Amino acid sequence: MHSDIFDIKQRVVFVPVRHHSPACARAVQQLVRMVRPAAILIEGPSDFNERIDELFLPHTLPIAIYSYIRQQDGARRGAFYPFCAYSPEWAGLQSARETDAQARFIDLPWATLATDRTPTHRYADAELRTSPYIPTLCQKLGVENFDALWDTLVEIDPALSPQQLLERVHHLCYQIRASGGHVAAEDLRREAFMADEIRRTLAETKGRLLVITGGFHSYALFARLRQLPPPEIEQPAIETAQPEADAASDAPAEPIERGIALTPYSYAQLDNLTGYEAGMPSPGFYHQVWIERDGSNRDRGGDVYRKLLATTVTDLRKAGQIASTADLIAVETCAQALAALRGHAEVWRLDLIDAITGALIKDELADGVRHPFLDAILTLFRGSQRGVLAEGTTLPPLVHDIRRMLEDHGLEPAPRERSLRLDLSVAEERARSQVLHQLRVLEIPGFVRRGGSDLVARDDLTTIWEQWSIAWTPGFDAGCIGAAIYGATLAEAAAARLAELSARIERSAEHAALLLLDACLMGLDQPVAALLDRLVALIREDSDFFGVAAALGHLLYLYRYDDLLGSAGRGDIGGLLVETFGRALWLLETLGQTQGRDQDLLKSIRALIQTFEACGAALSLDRENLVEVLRRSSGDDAQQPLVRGATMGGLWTLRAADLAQVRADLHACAAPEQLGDFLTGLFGLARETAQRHPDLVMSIDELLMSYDDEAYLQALPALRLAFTFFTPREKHYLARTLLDAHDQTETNVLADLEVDTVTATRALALESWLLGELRRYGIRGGAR
Amino acid sequence: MSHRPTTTTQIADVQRPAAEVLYAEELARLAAADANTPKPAGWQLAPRSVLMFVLGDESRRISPKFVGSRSLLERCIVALATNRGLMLIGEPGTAKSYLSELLAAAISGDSTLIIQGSAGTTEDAIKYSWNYALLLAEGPNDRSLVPAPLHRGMSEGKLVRFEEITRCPLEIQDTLLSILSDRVLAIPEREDDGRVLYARTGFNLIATANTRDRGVNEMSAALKRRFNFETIPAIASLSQEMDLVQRETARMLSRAGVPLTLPVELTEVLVTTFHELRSGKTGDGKTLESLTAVMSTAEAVSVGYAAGIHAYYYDNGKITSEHLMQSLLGSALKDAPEDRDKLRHYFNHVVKERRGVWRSFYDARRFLLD
Repeated sequence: MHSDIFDIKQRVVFVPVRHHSPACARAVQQLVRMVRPAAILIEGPSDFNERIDELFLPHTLPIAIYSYIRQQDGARRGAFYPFCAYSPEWAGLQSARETDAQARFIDLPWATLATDRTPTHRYADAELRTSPYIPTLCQKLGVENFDALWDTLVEIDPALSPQQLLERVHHLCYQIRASGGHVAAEDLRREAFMADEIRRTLAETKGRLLVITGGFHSYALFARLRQLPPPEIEQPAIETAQPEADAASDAPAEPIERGIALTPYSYAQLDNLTGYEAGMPSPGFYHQVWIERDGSNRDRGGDVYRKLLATTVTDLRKAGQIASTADLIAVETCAQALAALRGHAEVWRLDLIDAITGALIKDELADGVRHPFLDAILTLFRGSQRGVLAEGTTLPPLVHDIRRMLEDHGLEPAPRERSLRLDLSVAEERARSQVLHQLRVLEIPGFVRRGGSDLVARDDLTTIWEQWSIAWTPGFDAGCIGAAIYGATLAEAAAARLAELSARIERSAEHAALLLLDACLMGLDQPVAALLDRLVALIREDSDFFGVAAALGHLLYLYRYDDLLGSAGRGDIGGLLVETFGRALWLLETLGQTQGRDQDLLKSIRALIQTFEACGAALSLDRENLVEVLRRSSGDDAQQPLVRGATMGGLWTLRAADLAQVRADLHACAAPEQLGDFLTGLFGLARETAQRHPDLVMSIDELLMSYDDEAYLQALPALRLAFTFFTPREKHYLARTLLDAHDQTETNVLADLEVDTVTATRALALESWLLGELRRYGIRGGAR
Repeated sequence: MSHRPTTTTQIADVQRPAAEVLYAEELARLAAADANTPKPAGWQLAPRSVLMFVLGDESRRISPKFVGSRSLLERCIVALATNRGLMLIGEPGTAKSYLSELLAAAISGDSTLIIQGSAGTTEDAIKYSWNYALLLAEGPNDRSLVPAPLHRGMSEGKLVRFEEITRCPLEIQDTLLSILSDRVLAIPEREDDGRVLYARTGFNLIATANTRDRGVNEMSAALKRRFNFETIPAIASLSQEMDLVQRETARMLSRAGVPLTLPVELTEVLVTTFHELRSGKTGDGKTLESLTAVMSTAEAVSVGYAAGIHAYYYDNGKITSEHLMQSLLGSALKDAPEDRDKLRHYFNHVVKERRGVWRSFYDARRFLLD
């Protein structure tokens, strides 16, 4: 490492930062005062430079620069450069304004970088996290992970001078890069561009420069300007040997549309605690640190953690949790001791979280289960700030897009409510419906679906129509601007919103399938692809048979029958259907007691059989597995008779069981309290097959004749239910079979009753009871 | 402490030497390095060295002894240093007792002050009792008093381990209340100075409780308040658990004089099966119903060990999936009949789909069918 990089007397001073680090932001402020640069160059989208003044309007942070493109294949992509009060980049911009220095962004426009692999959070720090150097250093310093490492080295010590910070971060990032091996071609292209920008500024100005970039790039830029070897040992082959291959493989095709604008952002978005695109966690915590350590803040004093702890405890008490003064003392002692053990100059983020975990939580902390105490503190550490753009900011692109879409489709809202009926079989009207559904998902006020064909229940699908009401409400504009968080165009924003909704679902396959239906209603292709992964995960997590079977029903509809929404026969939905089918089978086998959900149960098992019959061949579903599971269920003595009947009915329909087997099962469930349920299940699944086998009626008849009155009356209600699955004509044929077998005709057996069947049954019951009483007292006539 | 084995030959005879004996050399080195470091009163090592002793440190030649997250251990050590009782909870077989032994060995240099909680644990076994011959002859005094672990821990300033505390009746658990808050043990029989025993610095309590026994004797809120609770999770990382199971079965087999090791692919099958049946989640994210039986790492080790013994003595010394399956059934199917269905389900839907050595494991399912 060349030592000049640490020297702040050089003409170009490189400030290595971690994005969203308050310590780095403070160092930037101090360095600007020390260096007095003529220009401050910041890692950020250079295509925003001409509108950089917009950043100095009185916005409420956090906000983000949003860059978006449309590619030749029609795909849209967008990326965020978020700024909050304690961003080093933001500190650089503000300091530039205060010292009359020129402020400029020097990174390649995102539009020229975007591929489907490029992270869309441009201030994340994956390149720092993933280096093999990190675990070794963590081990050495006795810290748990990269975030704790960074806090230990940079954030915690309030006495760390800007020079010390500069040295530490330069060293850390240099080592990360030197031991990380291959550097992405995309990063090298960006660095080449940034180095050119620095050279250009050097030529244009006489003064000194402050270059604020991610620490990962600092030394590489310095090396480029000085013609020194870069930190990484392994030279990527593409840069030297095959520049064409580089351009061809990694540079994306020129987008057909691009734009860049400011949008509001939120701490919830910033606190992406997990994943590849994570940045610093807990924005609320670091925000508080920033405020407390800000030299100009007159109210400061006292420790950050005490204030946070006080707020946490207040929140907990409001939520009805017990947190006494003694508890508070325990937490504080514990937090201080942890900080001391870990060598922290102040009680820090994890010290407090750990202290609360240790001292307040008296329950088992199962893996992946959330605890209210931890939730409270994590929510507080996340912070609830949402950005608001100042007046006079160029409106976010989404607002323009929504206006254009509404105009194009004749859907502009007026103060007077109007109503609109759409027939989805007409292409133009379907397009209008899609726009309306997109607005609905984004919760833009004023667009309400009042009625229409129910694609969820699918009762009557002869014509598919919808009824909407449209009206302008005062919340309309704010709603459009607020939704700009999600993207630049209506379709893109709706897709992002859908992804957000799907991330929120926990273990419900049915909700997931409904979201897919929403995506189809909105006419979105792209999000369907993105949703599918999430849906597969949700379906695998869901352990409710009914939910999964309901999802199966929705998916079957989308895959097999729905031509209007263009989802029929889509391979990806087919794949999902296979997954759901397997999952539903799996859950059927472990089905426990299902009190009072008889109809759902039949519907669910029917969905399985229907799916197999409709798509078994097309999707090569495993017939053997289906039959095996059904067989195991129908043969299981411990299973409820309804399930046994239904699974047997399924087997019968699939021709995997014959009449003899049905009879055998019938006899296994011959007890009066079971027979009706078994038959309900059987007929519910195999109505048509049962029709073709009148002999079955004879078996049932035999069984019934063996019952005494009491048993018969006990079985009667469920039997009546079982036979409701047949139409009157079918019932007629069944009765006919029976009568023929007994050599009787309709007229002499089925007397016309003057009362209804319910009354007749009651009379029968009374008579049976009366005879029983007579018998009990030994009175003659008791034996009928 | 004179009866404790100290020399190497003595250690060799002992079935299971205490941690402070087994790792005496490491402890001595750490203590020497800590000579001038400030320590909590009554501690043998500084908190950081305790951490290092448990987690291991390559550069100082300290062997790793416990697999778990650093912050969990930091919380445990801090609880003990700030004079809160430490309560380790978790599923059976998650090495709670082992961790408490390591902590006691590192902090007090003595892990033998153990109270075993059970339905029959009495106050005598916790605090003190009397030598009745001496009591009659001399009255209540130091000679006639027979100190139990708690008394000794308080008078010697050492950590006391209370195993399975929730198995004790509530009134026995609650005798700890005043001791934990006031750090005083009253001995009302004595009339001399010994009437009140003040705990020396260094005394504290590590209790363990297993979550399967929850509800047997739920702790009182008052007692809970005096403890910091830490949940010891099952090992989250499959590869770490695999290493541990491989290492431990090898150690147990060699100690039993069996010259076999569990093949790596079988260890993988074993640990993966345990992992999935325990968490109720397969490697590719499908949920399943987890077994009622305890599927701990310790249990996995004993399954591997039993498979080895079986293969060596009955089946000419080659461990196969069948041995594994048979031992697995013994450990997974204890008293809950529905576990058999769950296990069968697991085989039919998860194991069936897999390739390689899993095929032979699937074929071995016939032991499950009867």
